Amino acid sequence: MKFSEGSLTTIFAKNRTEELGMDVWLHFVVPLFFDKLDLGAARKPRLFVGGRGCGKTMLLRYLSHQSAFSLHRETIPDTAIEHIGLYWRVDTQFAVIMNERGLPGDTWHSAFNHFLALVLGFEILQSLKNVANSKFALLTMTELDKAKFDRFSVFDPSFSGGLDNFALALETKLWEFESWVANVRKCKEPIFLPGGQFLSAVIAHIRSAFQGLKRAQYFVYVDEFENLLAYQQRILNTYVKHSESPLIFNLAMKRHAFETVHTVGTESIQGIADFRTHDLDAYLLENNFPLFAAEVLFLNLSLAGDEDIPFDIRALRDPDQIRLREAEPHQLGVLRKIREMLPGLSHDELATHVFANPALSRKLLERVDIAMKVRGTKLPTNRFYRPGQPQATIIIPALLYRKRLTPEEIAQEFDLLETNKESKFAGDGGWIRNNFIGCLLWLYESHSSACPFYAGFDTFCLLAHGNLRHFLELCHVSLAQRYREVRGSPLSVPAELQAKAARQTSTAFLNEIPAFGALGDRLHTFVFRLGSLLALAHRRPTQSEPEQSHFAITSGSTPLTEETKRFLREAEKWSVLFEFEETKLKNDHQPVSFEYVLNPIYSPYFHITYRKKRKLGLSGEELQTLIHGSFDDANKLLKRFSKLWEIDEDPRLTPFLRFADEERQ
Amino acid sequence: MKILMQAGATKTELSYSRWSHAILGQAIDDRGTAAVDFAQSNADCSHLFSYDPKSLNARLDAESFSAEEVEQALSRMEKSHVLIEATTLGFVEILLCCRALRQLNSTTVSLVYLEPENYFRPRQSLIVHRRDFELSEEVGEFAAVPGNARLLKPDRTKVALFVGFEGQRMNRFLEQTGVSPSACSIVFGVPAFQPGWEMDAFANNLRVLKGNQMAGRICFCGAQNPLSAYDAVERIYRSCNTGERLLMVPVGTKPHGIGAALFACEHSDAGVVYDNPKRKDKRSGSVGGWHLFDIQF
Repeated sequence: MKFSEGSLTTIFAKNRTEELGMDVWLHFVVPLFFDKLDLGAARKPRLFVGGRGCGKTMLLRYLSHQSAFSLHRETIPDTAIEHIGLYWRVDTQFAVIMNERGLPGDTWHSAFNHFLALVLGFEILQSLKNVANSKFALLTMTELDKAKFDRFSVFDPSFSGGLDNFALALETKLWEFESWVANVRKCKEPIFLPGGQFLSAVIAHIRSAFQGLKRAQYFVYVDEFENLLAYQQRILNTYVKHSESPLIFNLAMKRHAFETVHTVGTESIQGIADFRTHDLDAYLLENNFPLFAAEVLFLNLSLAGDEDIPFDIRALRDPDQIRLREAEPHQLGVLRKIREMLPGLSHDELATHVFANPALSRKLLERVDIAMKVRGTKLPTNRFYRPGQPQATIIIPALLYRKRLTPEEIAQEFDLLETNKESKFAGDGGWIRNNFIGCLLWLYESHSSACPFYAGFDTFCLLAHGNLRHFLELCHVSLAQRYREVRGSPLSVPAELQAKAARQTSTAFLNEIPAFGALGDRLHTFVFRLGSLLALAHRRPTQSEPEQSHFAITSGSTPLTEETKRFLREAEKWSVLFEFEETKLKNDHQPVSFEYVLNPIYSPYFHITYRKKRKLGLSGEELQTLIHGSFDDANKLLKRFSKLWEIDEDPRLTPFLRFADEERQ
Repeated sequence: MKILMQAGATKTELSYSRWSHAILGQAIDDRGTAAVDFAQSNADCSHLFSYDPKSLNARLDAESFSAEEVEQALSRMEKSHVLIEATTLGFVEILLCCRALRQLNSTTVSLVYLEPENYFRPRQSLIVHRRDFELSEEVGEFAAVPGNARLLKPDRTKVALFVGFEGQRMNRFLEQTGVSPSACSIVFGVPAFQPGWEMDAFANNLRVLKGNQMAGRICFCGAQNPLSAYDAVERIYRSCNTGERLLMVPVGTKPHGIGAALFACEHSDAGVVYDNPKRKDKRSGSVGGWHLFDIQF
């Protein structure tokens, strides 16, 4: 690998699409689900739904004319003209003041349509320049220079002349509009353009004026739709409802953000009939996320100067190469290479790691001794502490704490295991399989080095849960740490360093939560409380319910308040929680309810499992305390669970209680 | 514009004459109460002023009007000596009042500001950030301020970003607007109101600064010095190339907000965005230093 730490940092620091600019063609990996978007034939508007970091903005910018007709593209097919994307992320700090201020609603309605006409009209003209400057063969700058737009003077006398004049006039109108919005009482109200009608006229003129563009189709992609005011959303919904070739409106937003489905008329927009929904989070998870994530990482490394990429990077930018990328030779090559770079440890290796570390193996021995004393067994320690059986020994303290098992029975089963006979330790439903990770995490809790359970490419994919930004940051921090150690050759990052990187990344993303919208601070507090409760659940001496990673409302007499439901939707919107239909209902008559999983990216911070294993049942009241309760109420709740689960370790070791205790002192 | 600054440990150390009008906000802590008492007892009449970022309306006593009509609402203060009580008024309210009074040719506008002796450091915040001061109850989205609303062109904008204790506000701004961190100049209040407080501001903003590689884009102005803040903005404004615009994001100290507001009054081409936090009751305790800023437009 021939890249510097600086180039590595720079390329990964740009893991927000906004920092790449509008032409993302060089940086874009065509997702494996690309065909599902049906971009070739379908003319129905699209609704893209996805959380932060799923690649929504990147996809929309890839579909925009700046990338489709990028100067970096060596060939552009003639059919490209049938999909000219216009990306529009509405400037919300400005759009939000296009409201009230003593003006009637219909004035703002017309003003927003005018704004839309100016911004998208200008963008259409820019697209012509991009098309003509690109390798696209059917439009040249010479043709463009000859074009006249005098017909548009019916909309405004300044709209005439050639392309540059027309674009300049639109820009001047935008400035005029901006001044009016800033000072609606002092500036003269502009003559508003009829939004859609104006855009349709521009497109019709273009299709008739240029032979090469007669089949041009324009697709508007409105990003971050959820940040618009309700009346602005209604206007855009109307454009979606009445979209028809050659001008199709498409929307992109976070989950649970479609707050109004109304149009400006009496109709509403409805899925299937009016638009097709594309859930990008689901697409990513269902379509070989590990392969796609690895390819994105390799593209980033290639852009940072790494020459040791196991395949031709150009294939990632070509939609026609998807089948080849999905084929076994490519997949195996990519995954083998990335697993060499970011190796994970098997359960056996994780267990061996414990015995290779004197402090951990001593701690384990102490726990075995304490558990034996608690059970009052006279059996010698070596009946339970057997370094030759590392996985089994690690789960021994938990088994000893279980009152329904006698120490003798455990020792006998251990003998059977050691002599390779059938035992309760081994097999699919065996003690090791059910308890090992829970016991391992419990053992590492409060240990200074990070648990290597969080290491490995496959683990990073699970921690990222379809979020490319999270995945890339995990890789970047890992590679950068290795780079600092060996200066220039991060061929393989040791598991310990990866686990350390996972903890650092988890902390960094936890600290981002306060910036998640208006409820950011409350979401942050909630995640801290929930994470601490799950961390407590991981420290039950019996490990009777190991690896509790999610919760559901299973009891309680008080129904959830509307405020709580809104909070849960907000948590989902920002991908702090993921909602699933409950998997294990006690009986068929129980109504379907939902389970909520804390985003696994936070699990290394709280030292809990990232695997969706067991559910923690909470009452409605307990959940409301976690969300809305005072500090003291939440503290009491955690202490109550601590007592219930017979956790007799120092409660200060739990993140939440540790701070509470420091404060008391 | 001239900004004359006085400071003292108590009000008796300030030199001033009586004002015709005082414009106040709602007191929510000790220093707010002290500041309102001072304003009311040193002005012939006082008026409660507020701005609602949702309706974009302002209110003077019982009268409600559009944010652009502040000038008419304050017309009775034309050519008068007016005191703006900046401890209890928010940033947008200060900007709207200063701009209107400038238009009304007020003889002199004074702003009084009282530092806190200490900020409320709540127990919840200790769970998360050791250095967090919980100053705001709920923070809204960043929105333009009428009169200084400008369309944001992320690639043609230079940003003067004043920061304080609440690190998430800078992050929210970057998230919401998509402005490149490389376009931002970060202004910290150093020296801080009290020795050591600057460390809290650094610590709370450090992660965002580091994560966005903004370490080389930091400058310092005294936390209590609006003139220095004004000068910092002016330097950034002058460094704008043709076609570039200045955007101010005053989420730092109040004196920095005053500096930004005064600059915005004089430069309508400069954009201002603000997140209008709902300030917490009892956010600070006791009264620290007193400041009086006399402005001659």
